[in-house]
Amino acid sequence: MVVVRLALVTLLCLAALLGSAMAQTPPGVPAPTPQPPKATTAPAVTPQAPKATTAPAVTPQAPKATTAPAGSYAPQGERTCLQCHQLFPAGITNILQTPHAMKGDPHTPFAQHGCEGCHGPSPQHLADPSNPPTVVFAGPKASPVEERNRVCLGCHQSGLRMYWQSGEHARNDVACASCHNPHAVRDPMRDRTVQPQICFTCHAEQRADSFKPSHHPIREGKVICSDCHNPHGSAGPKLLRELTVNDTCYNCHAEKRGPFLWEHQPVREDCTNCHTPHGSTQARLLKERVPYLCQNCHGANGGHNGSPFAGQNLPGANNSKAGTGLLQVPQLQIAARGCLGCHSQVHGSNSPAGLFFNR
Amino acid sequence: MIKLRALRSAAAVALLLSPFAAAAEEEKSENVPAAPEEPVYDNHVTAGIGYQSADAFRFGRFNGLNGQGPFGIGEFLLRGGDSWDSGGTNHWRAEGRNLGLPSRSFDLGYGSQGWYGLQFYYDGVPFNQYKDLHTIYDNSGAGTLNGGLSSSTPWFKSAALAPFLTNQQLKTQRDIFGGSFDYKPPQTDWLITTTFRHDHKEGTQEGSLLFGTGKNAALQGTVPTGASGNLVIFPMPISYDIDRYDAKIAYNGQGIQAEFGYTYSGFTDNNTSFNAVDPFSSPAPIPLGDFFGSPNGNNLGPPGTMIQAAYSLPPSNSAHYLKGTLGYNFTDTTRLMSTFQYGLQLQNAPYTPGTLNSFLLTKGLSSGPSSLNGQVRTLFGNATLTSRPLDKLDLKLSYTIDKRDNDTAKQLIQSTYVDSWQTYANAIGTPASALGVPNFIYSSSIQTVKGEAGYRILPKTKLTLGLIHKDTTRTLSDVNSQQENAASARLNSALPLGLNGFLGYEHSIRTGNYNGLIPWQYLGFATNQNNPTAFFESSRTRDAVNGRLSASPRDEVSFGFETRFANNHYASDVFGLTSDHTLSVSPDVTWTPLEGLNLHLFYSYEQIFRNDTGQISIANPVGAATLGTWTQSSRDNTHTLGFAGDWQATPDLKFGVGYNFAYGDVLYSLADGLTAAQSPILANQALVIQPLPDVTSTLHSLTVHGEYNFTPRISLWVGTTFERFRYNDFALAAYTNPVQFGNYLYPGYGNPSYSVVVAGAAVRVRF
Repeated sequence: MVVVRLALVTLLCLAALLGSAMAQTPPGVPAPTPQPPKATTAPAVTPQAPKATTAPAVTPQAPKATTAPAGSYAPQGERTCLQCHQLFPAGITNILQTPHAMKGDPHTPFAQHGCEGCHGPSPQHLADPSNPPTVVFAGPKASPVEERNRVCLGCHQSGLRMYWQSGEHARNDVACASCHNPHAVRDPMRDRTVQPQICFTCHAEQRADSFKPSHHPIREGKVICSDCHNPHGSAGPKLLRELTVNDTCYNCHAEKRGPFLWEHQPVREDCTNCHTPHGSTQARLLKERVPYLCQNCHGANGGHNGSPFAGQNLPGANNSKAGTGLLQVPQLQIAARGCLGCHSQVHGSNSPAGLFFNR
Repeated sequence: MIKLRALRSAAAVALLLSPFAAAAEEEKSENVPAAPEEPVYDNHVTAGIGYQSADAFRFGRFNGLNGQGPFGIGEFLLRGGDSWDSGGTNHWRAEGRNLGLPSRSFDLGYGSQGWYGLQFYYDGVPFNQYKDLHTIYDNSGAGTLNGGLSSSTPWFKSAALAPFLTNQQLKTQRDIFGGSFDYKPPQTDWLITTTFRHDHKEGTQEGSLLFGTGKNAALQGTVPTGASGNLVIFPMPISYDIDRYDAKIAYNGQGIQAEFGYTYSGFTDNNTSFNAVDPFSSPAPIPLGDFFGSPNGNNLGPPGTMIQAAYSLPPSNSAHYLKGTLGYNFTDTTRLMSTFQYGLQLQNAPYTPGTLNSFLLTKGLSSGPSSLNGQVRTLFGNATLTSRPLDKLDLKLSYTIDKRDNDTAKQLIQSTYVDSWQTYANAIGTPASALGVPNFIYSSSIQTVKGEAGYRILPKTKLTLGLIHKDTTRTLSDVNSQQENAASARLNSALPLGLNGFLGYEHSIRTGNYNGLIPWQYLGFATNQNNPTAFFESSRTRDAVNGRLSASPRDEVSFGFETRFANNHYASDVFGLTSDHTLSVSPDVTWTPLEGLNLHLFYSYEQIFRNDTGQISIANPVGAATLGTWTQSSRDNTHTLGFAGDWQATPDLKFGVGYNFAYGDVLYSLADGLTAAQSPILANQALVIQPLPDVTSTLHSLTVHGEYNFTPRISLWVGTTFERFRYNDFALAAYTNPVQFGNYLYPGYGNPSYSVVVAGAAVRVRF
């Protein structure tokens, strides 16, 4: 196993060096000319949430600040822009109330080059307003996704964004500005009551799940997508903030963590073996109704765990046993808590009497 | 939801119009405004009153609006600090939401941008589980019987029992406090962060206890055969404290970013056990006679007292994690990301007594160790490399290891798992468990290697191919070594007329070595027990397709379509889950017919199908029992429809409307092929011929609201929501009141269905 791991690490390093070498510009060869911004598909005009715009496929990019010769920038910085953009487009100056505009912080784009700190030096736009700024973040003239994201990653590559390049959103051409709005006084993605709606714009299945009888309080704003997920990328599965599914669940459900005297293997391995986190028609976010869920694994050998528990004598079911002298009450395993009625400590028991999760 | 649309509208419009569409005709270096002349009132205080038309316990599940009557509406957002061009960076912020409800929240922040920041918050999270749980236990939170109940009286009979039942609402409330402190040393790229979070959860939730299997024939003589177990459902006390503390130091350079941190997570259960009287137990003389209409006598306690059971509540535990993350840019197009985490999960809470039945304890049952001293080490490591060696080609390669090493010592436990004579006899009598049953100590290790290559076959079309290999090893498992290989292809493309989307396909095969001897030998058996392979260990073939298509033929309208289909076939499962699939289809449309009017319509259909197979032993009075198989399938269909609209009628008046409809229908089918095997029909056969009744749920939710600005600073908000929920799950809707069956009391949970109107008005003052 050690050999395998060493081999993999070596492989990774070699691949890195290979990629590095291939990407470097050979001496004497002019650097590639920056391509002009390409028009992208107009994003949906919708109040629901910003949508991912289409652009050439996202490729991994290293953080790169927007840099240009000093003379390329507007001489008056943002004041030059504000001559025309006091009121138009609507809300554009709201950015002045956001952290990005704080000139006292030398790291902000406004402290460096004003609006052009993000939009890039745009003498062509100053010369002729019909020319877009160098970097356009939304609308029909939006720059390619990688151009836009490069600007953001120039400052925001650390912390939660560390894994951006390998994440699903990067792979699916999602730009930072597809979800975030730096011009808003409050970025809607950072508003707990708004954020899920933005995610649901693309994640329609999860939106539907949130309406199911059993669901986490996502629509209600008490659990939001980013409580569990890191949309910027993750080393773990499903863009989770924590590195495993179970560690994510333990943040709020720490009583399930154990370790217990009597452990239940599928619980220890992955909570999603039995639960579906976004919503279910079954109680307790279960994937299937108990006892059938339990019988997914415990269905053999003729014992009571292998019995085909059924609907006789349940309200709404056809009671075909009338007059047969058979049991006239619903089966315990169906009518009450199912298997969990007796095996109620299914997440693990710390009682010496908990061998079968009864105590 | 009411205010959400308006916020989203503003946010979306601002985002979409953000590009500079006009420019200066000439540069004006003089008289340039330093700040917009138009005042912006983004601070506000909102106060009002609302009224709820009816009791609706489930409606208040997450907001606390449980009952009919008035409630307060209160929100505030106050922000201040240095202006953007003042040169200062101080800022502060205070926000409160849902102030009139148990779901209230507060958020306070203060700091100096680029230097330090301090934040505190509170969040209340109610959760309503069941509104009418009838219990024989009193309201003290302990497992003592309601006053007046005694086994010497015929209280087990329905008519006599009813007056002694108390009706309890099962609900919990989380009170979450937290905070953080960030410090960034000036002129450096370092950041130090600490966070803490305390979560107290209080209330009750559903629990259940099984009492007694079998009986002491020697002592109980000719007691008639009763049910094999007796069940009590009870309100389980919840009093949890969950604490988390993080400390992290991070470096954010242009070429390299790194983080290193420590996390402590602690769980404290303020209750250790729920000691409950066994209402079926006999203080002697025995037998009692009727209980719940069936013969009693399963349990035996010390003379003159009823048995108490000790039900263990989740044990207090703690966890410690060290985590490091590194990001390094070899070049502008090649990046390495790596994460390492080492964790330690500990638990050493005292055991609850194996039994409180002193009659059994006097018979020589070993009490065993007093605690587990459990220790689990976790290890997670990941290295991911992304690169774009060519303009059209991007690559990704990653390796991940996720280990759980359970270092807990093996213990031998004599378990009387339902405080009964029979289980006591098993615990001390059979060869396999004469010394006790060993606790299972599960460890596992999962290693994953992923490779992916994306090539732009056209300027706006990329084909991505991927391979995944996953290797899983486990201890004490039917399948202790398992491999999975997956291949995937994905096409992303942008076409004219605003058409863009993707289509992906993945095929994976999972195999493993079945070795059922391992767990059974650990327990002392010579052979396995012919258990099926659990679906998460079973060999599996998986196919999955997903796709999305969106189009924006015109600026004011867009369409979307999303679909996913995944099918799993568990090849080595003889019994258990044999196959399942999930299908979802979700179209949506957004339209802005007029300036200021935004409409959105969505629909989702989802189907979840699962097929199970089991094996039943059919008793035969004239010969050996026979084994038969049965199949059960469930088909879960859900339809979700939503409509939302916002209309800025005038600069001072806006309206919003939202309607959501959700319908779910779970269909069950059951087949066995045994129903005509014998005559007369045997009990077990009769049990297999009726599937469960369908379970349906329907939700209608309509919200209408409007806001009028009397002045730029003062507005009146008025809104109403009608919501109707119907849930016909037989377990809840049919048994709204307690019902006594042969060996258990069905507690009656109360029908969760409701129809409710909530209306409110509030004044918002901005400044």
